[in-house]
Amino acid sequence: MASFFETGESARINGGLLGTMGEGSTVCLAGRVTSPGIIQTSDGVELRLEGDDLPGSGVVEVVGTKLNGTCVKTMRVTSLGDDFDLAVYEGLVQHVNGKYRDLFSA
Amino acid sequence: GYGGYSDEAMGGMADTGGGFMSQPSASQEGERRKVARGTQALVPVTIRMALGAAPAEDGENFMIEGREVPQVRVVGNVLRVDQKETKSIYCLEDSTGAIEVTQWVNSGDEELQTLSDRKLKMQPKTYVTVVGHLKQFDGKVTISAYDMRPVEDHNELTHHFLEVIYVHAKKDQQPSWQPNPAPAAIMDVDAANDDGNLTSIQRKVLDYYNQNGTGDEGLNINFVISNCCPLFNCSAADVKAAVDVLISEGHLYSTLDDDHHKSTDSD
Repeated sequence: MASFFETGESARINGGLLGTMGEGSTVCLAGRVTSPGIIQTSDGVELRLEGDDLPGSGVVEVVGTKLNGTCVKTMRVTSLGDDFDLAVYEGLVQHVNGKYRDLFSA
Repeated sequence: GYGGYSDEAMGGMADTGGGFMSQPSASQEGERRKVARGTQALVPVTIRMALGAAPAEDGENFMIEGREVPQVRVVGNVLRVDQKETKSIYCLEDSTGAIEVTQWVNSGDEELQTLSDRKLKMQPKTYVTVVGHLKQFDGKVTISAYDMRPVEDHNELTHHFLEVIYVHAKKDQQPSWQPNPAPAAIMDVDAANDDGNLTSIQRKVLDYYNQNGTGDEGLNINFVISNCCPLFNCSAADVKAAVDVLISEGHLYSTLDDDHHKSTDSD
């Protein structure tokens, strides 16, 4: 199976949807760092992060692999800035995983 | 906060399916592509949509969802950069796929300081916004960029995807996609017929864009709101509402980003 760095494909989800993903699948989450190694995703769920590239603070986007229903191993972390609106982003996640999923995933 | 997001709530976004963007000023070394002056539809897409594009019959354009897309806009995260002499090749991903974007070196057209500042900001793991043509090379679709810049406000990422959805959804509501009219037909459009149904404030705001937003970038909406309020003796909400209607009716289209618009009436 081709890696994320070749396909560029990841599931843009929230904390609640992580439970529905297969272990080892590549996911993309946005959330606010609440304490070291913990983010609160756009739907208010707290997830644990593992890996070398851990975010310090603020709102971040994490691409990584699912370890279990509440933990993600990070591959890439990008700061989204303190002004990032997680509520609007959560609305986007609903569309990406719902009615308009064909525009975003196979 | 915004709370839930309904289709109505997205009504304020630019209908870029029917909008046009004037010819960009940057020339590109090694690529003198014929561009119909002042008549390039700009469509926001996901990388997955771009990768699935098929060449159109004319051999120049590409088709996405059954319509021609001369120009696309994508927002993606830089996976890697390959700097060559005359060009930089970026590989971008937006979670829907990965695509190669070629940016030609234009040392003559832009101050070198600005160019190198931008390059410094467009490192791997950062988000960038790209406007350009689709190309096909070696069996895969790539983008040849007119404009590529780092994302500063990351809400742009969310808004880009919502705009992709909006344009797609609105297109489906129309019985048929409007065929890409010939450049001459667009230049000759009778403006009086088009805006016969505009209200007084909408007409005034559109005139403001016609008179003050003649450059390729058009005008920043905050600039328009702050100037039009005292000028027309109305509230910011009135001006914003007028702009929203002008966008959805196709009198204004977005240029650089969701905050910049230009009139389709002007050159």
